[in-house]
Amino acid sequence: MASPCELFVRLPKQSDACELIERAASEAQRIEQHFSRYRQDNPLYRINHSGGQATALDDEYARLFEYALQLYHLSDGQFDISSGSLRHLWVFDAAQRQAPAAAAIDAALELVGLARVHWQKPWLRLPAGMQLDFGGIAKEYAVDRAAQIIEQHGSADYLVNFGGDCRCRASVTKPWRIAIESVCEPPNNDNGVTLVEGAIATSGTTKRYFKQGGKRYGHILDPRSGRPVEEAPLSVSVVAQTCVEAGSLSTLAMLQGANARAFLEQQGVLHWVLRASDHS
Amino acid sequence: MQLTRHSSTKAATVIALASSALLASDDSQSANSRQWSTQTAVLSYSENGRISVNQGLIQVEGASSENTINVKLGYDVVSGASENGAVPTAEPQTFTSPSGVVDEQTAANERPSYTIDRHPRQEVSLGFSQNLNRYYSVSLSGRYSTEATYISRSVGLGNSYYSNNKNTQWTLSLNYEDASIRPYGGAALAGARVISRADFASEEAFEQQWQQLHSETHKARNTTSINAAVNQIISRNALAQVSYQYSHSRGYHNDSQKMVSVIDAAGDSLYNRYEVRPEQRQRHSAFARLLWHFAGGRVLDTGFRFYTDNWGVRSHTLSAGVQFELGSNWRVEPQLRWYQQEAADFFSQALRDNQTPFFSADYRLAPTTNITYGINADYQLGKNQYLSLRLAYYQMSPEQNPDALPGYLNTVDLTPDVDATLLSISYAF
Repeated sequence: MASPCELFVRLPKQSDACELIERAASEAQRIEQHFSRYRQDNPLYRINHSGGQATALDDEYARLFEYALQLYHLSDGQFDISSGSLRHLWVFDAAQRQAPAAAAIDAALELVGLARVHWQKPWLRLPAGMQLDFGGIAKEYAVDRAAQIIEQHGSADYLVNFGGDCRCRASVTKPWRIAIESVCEPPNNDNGVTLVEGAIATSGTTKRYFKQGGKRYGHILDPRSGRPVEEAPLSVSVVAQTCVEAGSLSTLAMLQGANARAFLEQQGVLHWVLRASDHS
Repeated sequence: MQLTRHSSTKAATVIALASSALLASDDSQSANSRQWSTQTAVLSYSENGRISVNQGLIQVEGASSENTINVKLGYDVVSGASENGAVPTAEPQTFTSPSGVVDEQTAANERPSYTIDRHPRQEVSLGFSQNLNRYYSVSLSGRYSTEATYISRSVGLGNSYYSNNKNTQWTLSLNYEDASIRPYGGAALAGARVISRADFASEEAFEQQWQQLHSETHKARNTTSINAAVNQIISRNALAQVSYQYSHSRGYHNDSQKMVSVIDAAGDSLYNRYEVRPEQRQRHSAFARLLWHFAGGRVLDTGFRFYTDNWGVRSHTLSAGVQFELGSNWRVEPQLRWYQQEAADFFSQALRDNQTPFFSADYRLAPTTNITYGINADYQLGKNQYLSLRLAYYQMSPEQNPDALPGYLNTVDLTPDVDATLLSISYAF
């Protein structure tokens, strides 16, 4: 995972805490390797290079895929783990600071859309050339799995933090104080959230964007238009019971563009929406 | 926007359901299983020159993610001396034991007391609490305790609600207790003059009068109480608890063995009367606690309690403790507690007339200042095994009656200071 990962476990004995941290960390590493799109030795590589042939998914892949499918339907196609080819067009870094040509976008869109995928558990068949990317879910999933591993081994207080996506549990007398990096810079103890039990996830474009013709292009793409979501917030942070929930809600909120805040208020979840105008 | 189509079902609800399916992995069964823990404890409390209590407790608790079951069994034995409330006199005094059979002598200038030989009590309590969802839980409890002179049955109903991301916990509970009081030898007729064998011509005449004074064998009292509490996390380092309790008890509140002396102007006892307390007691108690966490696992625990009731008893309690870790397995907490109580309106060490409807000389209703020095130490033996020790030293300094006592009574100490110690050892696994 391309971000700093932290695990804290509060136990009287350091050796017990270390043991638990190692179990949780190895589960997170297993998930990272299992769902990474940078490896050639995992199921994702086989799925993405199946050339239109059906591939059998293991249970965990099936569950993650079905979760992605539900989000796809819930968002009417805005949340789409098959939008990888678009991301190759829009490279959000200093070297390439211009929007791709309309024709290139249209061509890429030919290979996007979970509606075109044939799924009959456990068999998955992608149109040739389409690629899946679980990056939008797997990190939050890894946070939750690491947390579950710790919870299954007793009642220790813990905090799992994978690049700002966190889940924790504490006694009421010793809650965790989590600073939200994108909201408070530098992160400090006074700006953040006090959590006894729950998760927080942040989706954001604060670091990955470029400006062209006065327009700011963030890295949240709408797979239906093939273009960045207009008026997307710089970042959205959401608190929920699990990291998967928090991450999904924050991503869906980003996709709402100008309506991000209204969407989150309707959901009744604790949230922070940061916009360029708020950002000095 | 597309999501409005689903507005009848909130996106958050759909996501919560979908994510719980995603995270319900095969090994989740172990997380749902019930975890059992057991706690055993022995406790010994001893007042210097007065009573001592020895107690044994065992508690078994089974907790799952949905509910908690709790069973507690207790056994204790009270023994020792307890003052009967009569004043000392310059001559030896004779008091008849509750059964009316045995007479006991009290030496001159000594405070009269009776002896509790060995008074065992058994108790059993059951508790059940059910989580209705992540934020709301209800609980039900029942308790039964029995001893030779007192049988108590109680039921409780409670609920707890978390709000504000579990940063705030609200609890409300109701309790009802029904007690049956059966003093040894029958309940003494409240307010009646205490009789002495020497004043009767024959043993039969004495016994007949004694029986008349103790004709009632069963007395009853019931108590309803309500407790409301809020736990609030103030910051990462501070937690506040505020609670309020109200209880209303009706029925027999007297201690059948306690009496008050009627004295003359020289401070000499003329005769004794059995105490009379009101039939109702309404108590209010408010409690505030602040817990501060510091680096290195140190915790400062401070509390304040205010108590008042319709008997005129009013008390203030201040307490403070510091918890810290000692090595990797010890957790130690020295504690200091200061308690100051104002007397009940009808507290009286001696009566000069027979005008007052209520009177008691029970030292527990006296004005007092008590200081407790305590130390708690927890030692972790294994992964889920703890040994806890508690040692406390109590200094109780009751004060004399606010009204000056006449003559002879000025020469004796009616309210001596009393020291007590408590030692408890518990083992949890």
